[in-house]
Amino acid sequence: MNCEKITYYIEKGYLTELNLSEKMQIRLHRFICKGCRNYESDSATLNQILELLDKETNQKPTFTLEEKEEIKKALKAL
Amino acid sequence: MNNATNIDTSEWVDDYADMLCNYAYARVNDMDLSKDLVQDTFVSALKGLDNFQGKSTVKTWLFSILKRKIIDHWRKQESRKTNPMSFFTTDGIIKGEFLNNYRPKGKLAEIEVEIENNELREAIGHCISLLPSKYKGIVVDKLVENKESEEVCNEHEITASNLWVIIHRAKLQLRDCLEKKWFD
Repeated sequence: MNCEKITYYIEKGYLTELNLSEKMQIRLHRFICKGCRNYESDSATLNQILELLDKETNQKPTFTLEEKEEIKKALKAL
Repeated sequence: MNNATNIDTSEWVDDYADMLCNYAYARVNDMDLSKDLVQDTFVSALKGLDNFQGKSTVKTWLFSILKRKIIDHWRKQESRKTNPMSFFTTDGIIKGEFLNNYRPKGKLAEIEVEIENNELREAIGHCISLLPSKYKGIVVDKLVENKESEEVCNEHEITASNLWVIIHRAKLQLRDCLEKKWFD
């Protein structure tokens, strides 16, 4: 069961340059394993989704005006 | 603004409270907790005003304090061992059940990744919140904020190969979690 190793190489490939042997192993395994092919595309999408969290658009309202006033008062009292 | 005595903390609240809170919420997935962390951030900022000295912008400075608060929160959580699930401690993927139980179907690739998709943000935030606490900071720094690997390793005092292993395990868990959450 190579999939654990192959998915590790796939992820490592995002973080650093893979050596030739690692690249070859991914390439060969890809032919025979649909799960890992799927993993590769899922993994790429997952990276994009994770980066969404860093974008500042479309902020949700969080504090109410009253809460903000309370915080302001508390900070002044410190 | 440089003078500590006439800093307008009300301005901080008006300008940054919501922004900070959204940032925290994306990472801890709990609105009440996020609000607490933001309030703590303002208090710490006010107390540490002497250290600020205007070397960075107020915004950058407040965010750096909040980030530390979030990491402290994760550490506390870790020491209380309240994590609901973890592949790292159970016989999950790592024990070789990858193909049998978690065979990826490639469904995530069907998701349209759009900034406006709040539901998707919620879902991924939820999945991050289920990661083992001590890995959350590493995962967020590397995969959400896209920091250089070297910087992440230094900050968390881990080696490059530690980082590869942690990211691999976290991605397996996140992929599995998001697939369940999004498609079930």
